[in-house]
Amino acid sequence: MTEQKTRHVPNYKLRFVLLIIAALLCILISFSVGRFPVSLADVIMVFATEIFKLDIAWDFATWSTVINIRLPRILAAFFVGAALATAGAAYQGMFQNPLVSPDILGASSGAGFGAALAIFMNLGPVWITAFAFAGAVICVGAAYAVSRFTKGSATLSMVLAGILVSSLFTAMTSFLKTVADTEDQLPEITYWLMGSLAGAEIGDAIFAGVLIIAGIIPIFLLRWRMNVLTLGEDEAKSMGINPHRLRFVVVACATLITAAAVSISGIIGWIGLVIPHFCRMIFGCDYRRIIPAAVIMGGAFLLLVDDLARCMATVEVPIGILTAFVGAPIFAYLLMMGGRRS
Amino acid sequence: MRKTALVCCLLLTAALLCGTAAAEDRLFTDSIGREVLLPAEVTNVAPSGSLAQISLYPFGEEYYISISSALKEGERHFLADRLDSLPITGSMFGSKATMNPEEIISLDKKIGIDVIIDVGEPKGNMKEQMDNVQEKSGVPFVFITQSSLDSIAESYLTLGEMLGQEEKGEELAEYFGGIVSMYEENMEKIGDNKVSAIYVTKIDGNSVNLLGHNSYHAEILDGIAENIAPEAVVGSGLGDQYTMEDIFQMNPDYIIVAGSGLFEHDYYEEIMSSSMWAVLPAVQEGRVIEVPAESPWSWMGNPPAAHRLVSILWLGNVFYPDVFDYDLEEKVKEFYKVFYNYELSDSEISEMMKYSTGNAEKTASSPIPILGVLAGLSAAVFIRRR
Repeated sequence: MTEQKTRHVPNYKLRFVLLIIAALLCILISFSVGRFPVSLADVIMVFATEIFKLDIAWDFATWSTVINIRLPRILAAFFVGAALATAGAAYQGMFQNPLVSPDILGASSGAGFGAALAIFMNLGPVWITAFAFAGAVICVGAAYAVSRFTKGSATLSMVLAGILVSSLFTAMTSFLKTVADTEDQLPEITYWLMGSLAGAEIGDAIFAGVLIIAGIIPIFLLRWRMNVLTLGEDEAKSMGINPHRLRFVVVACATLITAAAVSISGIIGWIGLVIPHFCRMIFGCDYRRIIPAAVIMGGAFLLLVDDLARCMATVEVPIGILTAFVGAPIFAYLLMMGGRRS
Repeated sequence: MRKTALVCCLLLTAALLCGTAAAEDRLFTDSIGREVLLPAEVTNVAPSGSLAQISLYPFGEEYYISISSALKEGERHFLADRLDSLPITGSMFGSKATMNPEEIISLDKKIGIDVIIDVGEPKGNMKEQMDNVQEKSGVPFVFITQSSLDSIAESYLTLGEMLGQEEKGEELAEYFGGIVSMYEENMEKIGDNKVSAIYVTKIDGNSVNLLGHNSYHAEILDGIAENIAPEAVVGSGLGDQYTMEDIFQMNPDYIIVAGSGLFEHDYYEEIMSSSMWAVLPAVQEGRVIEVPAESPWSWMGNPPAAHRLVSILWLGNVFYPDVFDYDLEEKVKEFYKVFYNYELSDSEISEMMKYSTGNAEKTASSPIPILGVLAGLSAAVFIRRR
């Protein structure tokens, strides 16, 4: 019995090392692909010039492509991917439901409405981000408030309240779409709702990065307690954990990072649902491993998909469409493989 | 029982309407071959859709009985004040319809519509759709084809005929057709020596929207310059999304940039003050020109109605001053007089076209701050590692 067990315990450390190497490779590749030709050597040299203050005169377009265009976009893609995957894993743990994704409490529909409203009011890009962030927080806050005043199972009422509030916000977005100017506002809203990182500037990356890191740290620190909660509320209580407070803190942090992510990228589905499943397949059902794995894998996955969005066609392809196109076949394959093994 | 009574009533009223109308009505054939009974004198016209709303204007503001969409700041500035107080209808038929036949009937009762017009490119089963709504609402619908530049003159002849203003229609057709034929002749002279250009419709950080070639909206741009943006993917006037990387690659002779509102220049100022855009020779040499926006509509045609003809006068003169050889301001003033019945003052024209003729002074800012922060951070990391 023990012999069998040891044979089946995978080497998680090795897997983590491989995952980190893969993520670093993704980052390196992302710097060197794009429509303006910059070789990998040039990328490294541009960074070397910046870091060591070397005396190399760069052609401005090359320099700007690496530093002003690709660096912010890569940072933004990594942060957004990491945020959505971590939030997804946290929500799935809190609701003990593998079908939950970060928009279950309405973060995406709230952000979508906020952005649509800002576009409708002809406000600038900064306001679109601010409105989207506020929309997401308000929507989840409303769902949480509704669930507090309902009777019955806490998780069920929260999920139902989330569905209720988010459908309300989706309806309001649809209304804005019907009244928006069809020549410029409507296409802009549609584009925003499909998600894109094309506009990412260093300011966006810093704004989202700070909030996302601030939200991921508590989740990371609480990951052991999340394990306990999966055993059930009574078990958690018997081990001295207040399940309501834990759930509130984790949901609040997951909402914060989701809101920060979608407010700069637009709505990107799929990652928050599927990356946690990938993580579980590779690292088992232990949140102590799932959370760090989701951060790295989510970031690397979105980075790869964004590279496709940049290079696939002559125009930018909305990333929200691509995540599903890339993710669905991989996920289907993994599901089938997993099914065969068990 | 009640149903039959209702149907009888309806039939009776319909018969009555036809009976009384037939005496003085005239038969008008619209652009897609529909025969429509119109009152002898058409005075109350309801435009359905933005192209119709714009196209009707040269005939006079007095024809409007309703408007299709709420007026923006630019429209309020240039168009007759009366328009702002008219009921707003949206589109009255087709997939984008915001009014159903019942609402059209009640609106007709309230304001008395002589005819509803739609202007644009005829599509698919438009004829059946129009017949259907016309039958249900009892209000005449007319469709006027206007899509490519060549069809503009013809469309004004048809509109003139519909309004019983044949002379005015001919006058407008001659003026608009004159611009188009002057443009065609001049472009023949220029031949392959066209300047290259891109039209930037929106800037959001590193993302830049360009109007692709071969799109409906880019007709004039494609003809008057070599539009080096790739083929259009999206059909809207906002164009397709690219990033600064693509712009570095394209390196156009001219950058045409959308204005951001009436007398507003946000995108232009962003281009001229950005260190990234400064790489491009077009920016260094002052070949960035701004499209007057909301004056009362974008000159580049968003929506693409006949008012976009003014951009031929403008771009032709800026790109090829030896061939399109005239006083640009005089020509623009004349166009505004004909199209909007509006006397442009010298101060208005200079404010409107502040950055529209290129060679402006450049205000450059440096990328040093961001760079400094980045370098500092990387250095800190590097030192700690050691």
